[in-house]
Amino acid sequence: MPADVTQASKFLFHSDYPVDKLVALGTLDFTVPATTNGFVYIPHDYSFIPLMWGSWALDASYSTLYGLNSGPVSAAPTVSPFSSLMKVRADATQIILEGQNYTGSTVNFYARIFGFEPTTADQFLDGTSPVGDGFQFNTDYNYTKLYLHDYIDQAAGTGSPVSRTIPHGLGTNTQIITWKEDAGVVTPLTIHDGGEFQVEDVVVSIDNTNITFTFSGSHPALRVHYRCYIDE
Amino acid sequence: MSSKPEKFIYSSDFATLKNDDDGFTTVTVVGSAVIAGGAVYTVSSDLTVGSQLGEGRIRISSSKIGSSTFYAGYLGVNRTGTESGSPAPYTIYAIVSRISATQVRCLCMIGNPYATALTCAAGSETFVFKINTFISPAT
Repeated sequence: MPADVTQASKFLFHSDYPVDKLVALGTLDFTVPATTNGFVYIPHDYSFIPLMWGSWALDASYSTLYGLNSGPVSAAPTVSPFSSLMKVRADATQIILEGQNYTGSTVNFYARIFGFEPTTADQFLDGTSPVGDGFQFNTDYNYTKLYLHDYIDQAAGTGSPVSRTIPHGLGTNTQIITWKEDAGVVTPLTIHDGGEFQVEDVVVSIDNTNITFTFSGSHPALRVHYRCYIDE
Repeated sequence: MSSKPEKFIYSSDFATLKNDDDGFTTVTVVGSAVIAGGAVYTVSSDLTVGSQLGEGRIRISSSKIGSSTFYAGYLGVNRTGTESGSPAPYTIYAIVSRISATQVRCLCMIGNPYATALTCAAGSETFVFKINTFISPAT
């Protein structure tokens, strides 16, 4: 019997849909001086480039957790809407964290990061379960249920914006996370900025029918990885 | 211990993500707002969503952009107003920032890049912010 996608999102766990599997997981902290950017390079030995995600806080207790490309709002934005923010990306040999500090003081970044395999990966991996051999499924939680995951390749732009659509068939505006892969570097997509701060090569949007990737037209050759969930 | 990617429905060897909370709010940028030279116009709405350690997936849509919703923690859209009687481009930034363990601030920000007053585009524009939070595992 085909899976009923209209009901699947109501389950805490659904055996027709994979649960997210995190293959990279960690926390770290680093300091960035005033009005500069700071980088942390973490070597990895995966045979693939991991699809990284994460968050960060200004204190070790993660009292207030900011997302990627987000942070405290700047009172006088000039270079960024935020006074400080964190980015993460990965290449074939390392995971790279970047802290951007637009304040006049040192900023301490406390980061939580995790990563997925791309759909092209095929490697034996050590587990990341925090409970070792213990069973970690808990009916108190609603686990993320993966529905679509793949990538698209887009040739370099020739001037005009280009849109590509992926029908998702869910009939609703659902959760997705995406990354762009550009010249061997994989970066989460979290910005759509047509303004003066930054122009992105590709932006992601969704409606009740399609996931749409819109390329700027001046973009390089890109691969866009996506993971679409039953969960709304 | 072997692990083939995505051929398991569930594997207890690997940490996973848990859905946490969801919520939405709207912020309206008033049509024809006048912003003094060099000043910043902001309008915001605070939303209680998620528990501490809840990370956000953010969707933003606008009443002037059609039916699509953008997956972006911040959205910058270009508009044209007037400055000294002449057409003047500017950008509305719709951004999300956490302000406490369980609250986020959704705001729209317009910085006037001109030395004199900017009159924004006519017609109010309403931004809808939908936020899902999820929890990554303990490390």
